[in-house]
Amino acid sequence: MEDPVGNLPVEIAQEIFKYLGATDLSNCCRVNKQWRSYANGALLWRHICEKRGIFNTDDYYSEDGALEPMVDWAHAYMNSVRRRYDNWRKDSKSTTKINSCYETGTCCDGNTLVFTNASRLIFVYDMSRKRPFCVQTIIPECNDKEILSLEITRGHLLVRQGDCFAVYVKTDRRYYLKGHLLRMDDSYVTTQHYYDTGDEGIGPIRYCIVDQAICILINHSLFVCSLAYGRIEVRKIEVVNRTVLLHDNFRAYVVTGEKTVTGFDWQLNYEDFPVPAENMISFRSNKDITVGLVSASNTYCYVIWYVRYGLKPKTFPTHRPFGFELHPKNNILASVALDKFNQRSLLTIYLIEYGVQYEIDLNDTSIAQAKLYFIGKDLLYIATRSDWGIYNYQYVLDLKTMRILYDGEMTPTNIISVDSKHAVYNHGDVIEVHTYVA
Amino acid sequence: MPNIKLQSSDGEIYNVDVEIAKCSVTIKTMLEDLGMDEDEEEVVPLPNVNSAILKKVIQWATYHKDDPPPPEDDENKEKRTDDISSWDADFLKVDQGTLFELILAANYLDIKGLLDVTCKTVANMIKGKTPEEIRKTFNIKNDFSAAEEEQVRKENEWCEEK
Repeated sequence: MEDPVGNLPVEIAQEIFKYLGATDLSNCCRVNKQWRSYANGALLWRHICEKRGIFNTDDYYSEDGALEPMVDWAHAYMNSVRRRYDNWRKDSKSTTKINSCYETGTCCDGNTLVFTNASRLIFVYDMSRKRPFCVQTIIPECNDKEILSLEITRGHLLVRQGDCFAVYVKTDRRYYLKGHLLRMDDSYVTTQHYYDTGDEGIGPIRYCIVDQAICILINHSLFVCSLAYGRIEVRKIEVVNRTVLLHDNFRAYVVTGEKTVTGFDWQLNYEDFPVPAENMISFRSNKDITVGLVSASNTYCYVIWYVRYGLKPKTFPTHRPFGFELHPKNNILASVALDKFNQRSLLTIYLIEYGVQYEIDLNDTSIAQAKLYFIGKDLLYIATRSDWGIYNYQYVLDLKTMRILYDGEMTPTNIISVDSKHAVYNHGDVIEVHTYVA
Repeated sequence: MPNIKLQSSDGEIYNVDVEIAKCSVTIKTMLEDLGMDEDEEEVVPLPNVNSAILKKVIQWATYHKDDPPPPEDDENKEKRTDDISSWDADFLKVDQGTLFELILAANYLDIKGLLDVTCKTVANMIKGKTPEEIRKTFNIKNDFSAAEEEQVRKENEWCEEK
């Protein structure tokens, strides 16, 4: 059947396209002429702009093209994105300070910022406008227990109080309780499922939250709770002793026994990576590949697995890294490592598909740790710190030219999150939000 | 429970509980306008829906007969696509042809819940894909000339974020 979407009447096609965000809509515009005429709708783009507080006030200059130009609201959206990246390039930002929050538990996914303080309430800030503002305060279900952690992923908020996990789901900027994952009398109970953890008693709970799933490791059982599709789906997996749980934003990894490493995603699929457990340090993944940092007798290398394509893994040797990150969409790996031999700290950018790598000397031998964040497709943000300090030096690199646009010392701080719209820092009981939105 | 008879485009007749049939606004209005008596042996012809699709629609409507009416579209509301129930997700594990015929039938019969969930399913098939991947998914030919291709690429170059 050829192009079933393009053959739909326009009003039904709009019913489909209204569920798409700007990036998907823009990709639809590039499919063919019919799709472009459907996805280039003023109403569709207007809704996208209004949700983000973007106004259609600019005059647009559109170059003469072979096709009808995009609608004004699409231009307004694209202009606001372009200006945001320009702000990053020029380090032009506005700062908002939020006082009296706890240092632990503060988290941000770019759309919402959540934190708690001595009041034991959870504060939810909306980040979609230029200045973050409080949209909701949540009173947690068990108000006698301290909040141990807060985490957000793709429209879900996970609150841990003691042995109790509560899952909230976001609708219209606010979070609503979706279900509990409670530990009561040696068993795991959720509002929808009941799991018995066995008679071995409860050891320490280790857990992580990835994309749309929560993985909880207790004794010899791993509970993978998928939050996708409006329901909590729990799968219990038996694991052996010496199981370690690693994770990044997309995937959780369990290193079991001595032989294999297994990665789970939110769809509860898993793949095995044949690496000796003791050599595996950490992972990063995007939808194409998984990068593992592997060490053996003081040498380090990145191993790249092509999850979707079944290609042979690639290996890049490296010095001991202080931090590394994989681009969420493009297969670019960035790493900050110590070149012991020459006594320098190197930033290395690997263009994985081309097998090419660029090295940039950061001229700082005191680096002990580094955090890296990709900003859109062209920029890289790096924060470094010396021994036991908090992050106190930052760089912004242009990946097109491989040049550092600017760098400098910053107020010593913890980094909560950095994305193309905001950089969120936390020091003492103050959260500082730098906004790059134009 | 009173039943009515629905006739598909290829002549098959289905006996359906009136309350279930009424989840289709089209049928509901038809019944009200015509003032059909419940004991009359009328057959409602549905010339735009074939028997295979009508059977699926009835199956969907039967399962959802006790659902509260779907809320009116609020333009400011966030449009989620990840809230498809597991029954619906299984129900919609069909080939593309059937899925799109269901969309057309839901639109013709004016069944908002079914239209929403089928459109969400298609939106999920588009999400996160590159233009080339979308073409592959739906078997679409790229009919842009080189100049047009350059224009759309330029127009959309600032849209590449997560």
